[in-house]
Amino acid sequence: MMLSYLALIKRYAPGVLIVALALYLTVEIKLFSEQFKFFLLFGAVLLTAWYSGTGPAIVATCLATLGAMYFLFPPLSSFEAGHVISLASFFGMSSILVTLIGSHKRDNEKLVQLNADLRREMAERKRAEGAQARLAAIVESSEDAIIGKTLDGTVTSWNAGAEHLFGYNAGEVLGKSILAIIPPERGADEESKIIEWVQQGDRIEHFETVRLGKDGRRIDVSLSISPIKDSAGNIIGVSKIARDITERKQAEEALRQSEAIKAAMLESSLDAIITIDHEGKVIDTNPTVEGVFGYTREEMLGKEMAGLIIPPSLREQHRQGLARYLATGEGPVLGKRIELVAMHADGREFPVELAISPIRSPGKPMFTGYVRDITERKRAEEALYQLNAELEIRVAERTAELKGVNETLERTVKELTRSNADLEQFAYISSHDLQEPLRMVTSYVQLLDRRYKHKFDKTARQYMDFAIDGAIRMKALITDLLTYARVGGENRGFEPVNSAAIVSEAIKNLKALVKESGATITVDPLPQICGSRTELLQLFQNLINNAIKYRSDVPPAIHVAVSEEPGRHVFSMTDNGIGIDPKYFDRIFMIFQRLHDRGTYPGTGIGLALCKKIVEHHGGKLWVTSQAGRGSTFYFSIPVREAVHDDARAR
Amino acid sequence: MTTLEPGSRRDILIVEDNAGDVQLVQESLIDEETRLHVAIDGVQALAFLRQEGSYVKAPRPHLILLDLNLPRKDGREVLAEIKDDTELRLIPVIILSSSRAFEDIVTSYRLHANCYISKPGDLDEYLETLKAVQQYWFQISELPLSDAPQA
Repeated sequence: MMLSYLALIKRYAPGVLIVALALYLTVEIKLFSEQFKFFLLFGAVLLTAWYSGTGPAIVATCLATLGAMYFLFPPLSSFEAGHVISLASFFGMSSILVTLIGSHKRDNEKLVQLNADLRREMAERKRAEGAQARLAAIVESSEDAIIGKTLDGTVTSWNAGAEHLFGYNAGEVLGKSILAIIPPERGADEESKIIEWVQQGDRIEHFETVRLGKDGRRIDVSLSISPIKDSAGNIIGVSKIARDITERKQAEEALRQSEAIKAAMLESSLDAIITIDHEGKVIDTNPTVEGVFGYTREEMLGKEMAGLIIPPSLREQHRQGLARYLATGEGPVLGKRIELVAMHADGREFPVELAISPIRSPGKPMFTGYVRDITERKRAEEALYQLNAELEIRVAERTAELKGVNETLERTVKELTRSNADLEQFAYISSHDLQEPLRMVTSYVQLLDRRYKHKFDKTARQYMDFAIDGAIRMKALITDLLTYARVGGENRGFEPVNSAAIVSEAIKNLKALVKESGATITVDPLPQICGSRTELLQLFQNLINNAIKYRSDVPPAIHVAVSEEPGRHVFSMTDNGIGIDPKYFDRIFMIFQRLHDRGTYPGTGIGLALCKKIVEHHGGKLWVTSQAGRGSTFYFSIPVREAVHDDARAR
Repeated sequence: MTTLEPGSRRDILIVEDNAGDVQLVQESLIDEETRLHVAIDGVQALAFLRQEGSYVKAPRPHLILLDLNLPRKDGREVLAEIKDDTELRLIPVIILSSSRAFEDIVTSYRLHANCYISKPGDLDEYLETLKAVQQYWFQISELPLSDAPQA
């Protein structure tokens, strides 16, 4: 109320004052003559009209008239017509002028106001236009697709971002339905739902959906949807900002997969995995923990791990270790596998293999332990150890046994060798020493026979014949025995020998026999071998001799061949003689064993035994294949070897 | 061909313990011009050669037939001693042994035997060999006949 009074006073006061002033001046300063006494008053009124407006001016006019009537005119009682006319004219003129001025002023004011309004409006418009342009620029330059549409889905704006994202340029979509970029299955439903939300006045942020590009591909987008309101606040359309979230979706997917894989890895681990914080409390576990320790994940989370799964006797050690690491950074058990004892929920202790790694994190350190229940393994190790121990005992026993056996064998071999040497020496010496007396008997019996035969009667001569015959046989036996005994003794070691040359020599030595029997001997190409020349000559000669000796009715045909086998030469001597019954195959190689009497086939029976000894001395084997009446083939092998020189005897 | 001068004699020493062999040698080698002396072991042989003891008057032989396997002193030792002696070594020594052993042959030659003959087992061969010895040593080769006084 006070304020309106104040306003009133402010409005009317100046007029009143100025009229008052004019009145005073007119009264006091008798400047103006009768005609011009209204001058100041007039001015004051006009001024008031001009300054304060029509209302105050009318008040001022009335005041001025009254004032004039009181001060400038004689009192009312003496009012003449001329005075009234003067006053009335003044009042009338003033009123008209005031009104004119007032309305002029009002017009002016209105004009000014209009001008100001206009200016303001123009400024605003310009501002609005500027803002709009900026907005448009912002919209255009945005990388996000900004789409405006009406409530029925007609596209009204389509920025560069939308062109880029969807592939349609503005011309292709403006005025058309937004459904073009919405996948058919979502289609109209989503659109109408959006319109509904918008109409409720809601703003929708981060609405994830799928749209279609011009090329038909599906684009994952995140929409920010807001209503477009007109100046009255009516919703006239929808503004959508669509952000291409394909990459984000892919990254999310990749992350999700990676997370899923990691989770699967942890879950599928056969080892129990426990993560604890710097206070030793369980932050996380994998499912295997339940099987190994008997606690579920929920039972373990937040609790101190040491209290759950470390045996009481080792808990303090663990806590100290943890504290030490936190204080000094020294973690002697970290980063490697150690064997420990852990405790199951049911209280029993069991052996585990543990590996603890610290986890780097920006905050306090964490640790992950990988625990493997090695009860089985330990059991197997123990069993293995036992087995090993047993095995070692057994091996030691067996080795001792074998050693014993070996020693026995060695001793036996030594004895046999000695025995053999003795026998050989015996055979050698005997045959050698026997030769002397033998020679005497043979020689003198023969001399006796030659020089005194004419003195003997028939019986004596017969006696002589028997004696001579016996002596000759004995000589042959002893000679052969000596030869047999000498094999392997008197040689100089093995040297390279041309077996073809030896066979030729053997045949040459038997020239007479060959001629007499009409034998044909064919020889294949024979190799260079390593052995004792004299012995090998004896060998071939004996065999060829036998082949000719034991001939059948047809002239003997003998074939000498060789077959090369890895590491040895296998010689063969095939004849078409009388053959040998297989049941005698072993006997024929025995010393002095004969299958025939001396009358039919002469010989001491040492030939094949000698051959066998020679072949065995060379490290080979001698054997025969034959059938009675169908000839025989004798085989013998001579190992391939380097020349061996045994010069000890030569000196 | 050298023959002894008429009236002179070949003296042959045979060192052999086997009487039977001595007999054979006797029959094969000995003729009017040749005299055979026998030593039955090595000690006797050397005493004979050195003209010691009962052999003071023994002649120096022109040829020695030496068996290797002798009692008391082995033939190889006798050979070594003969060939060691500056005078005795001139006398050709024929080793006449039943051994065919390579070692024996080599040892004999190493000890400077003049030749080595193994006694053949066969009688006829033996007789042939002795005949050959006679022919070679008495007729073909020269013997170092000395001017030592003959008994």
